[in-house]
Amino acid sequence: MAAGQKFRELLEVLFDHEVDFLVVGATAAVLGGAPLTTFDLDVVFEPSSDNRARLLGVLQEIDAVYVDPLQRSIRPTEERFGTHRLSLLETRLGRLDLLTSIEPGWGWDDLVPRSHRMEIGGMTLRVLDLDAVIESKMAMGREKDRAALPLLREVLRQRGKS
Amino acid sequence: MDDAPAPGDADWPAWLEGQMVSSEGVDLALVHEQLARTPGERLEVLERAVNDLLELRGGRWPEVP
Repeated sequence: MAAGQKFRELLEVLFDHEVDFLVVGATAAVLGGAPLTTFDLDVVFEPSSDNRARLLGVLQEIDAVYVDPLQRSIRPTEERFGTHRLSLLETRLGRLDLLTSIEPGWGWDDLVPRSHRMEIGGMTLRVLDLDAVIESKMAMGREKDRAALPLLREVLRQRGKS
Repeated sequence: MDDAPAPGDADWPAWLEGQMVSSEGVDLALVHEQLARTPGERLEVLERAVNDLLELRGGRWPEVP
């Protein structure tokens, strides 16, 4: 569907529609200084119905459908993405993973105090702190997450030196 | 190289870091380069790298785990 992964445009459309969200996962690590790659943008959104409605507006605008191995065009509804912990979506701007919580069971209220605001090209974004990204990846325990840990810990260490 | 300590020596980690490699094998030059960038620049580099990889993959995203 998408011609490529457009991280900045995905963030811009969420920001422009005043969706309350928090960047997590590998993109948060990259913004925090880790030289990593990731093929999708992971965000946790604030779970109120007003915010879900704004988010749904964005999803319609960017032609979001669920990633589906059978190639069915299943569009997100407020009910679907509000009740699923994880919605893997493909959009005309690339892949977007919407989450209501991340490991180890952190929801919006747990994540906000472990995040910071970051200015990027006129946007103010909320981004998960690097030490929280590390903790979350440790809790996930997948091989690819474990493999990233030495790099993430080193970035944190080097940041502490400067 | 003759002055290089052996792995396990007390001064091995410091020597290794002088070679721009952490004791866990992380390329410190890459880390320093990334830390020198602004967040906006980091996002641009990520986007460029991922889209190059997607091109190599014929536009196919990796399988969902």
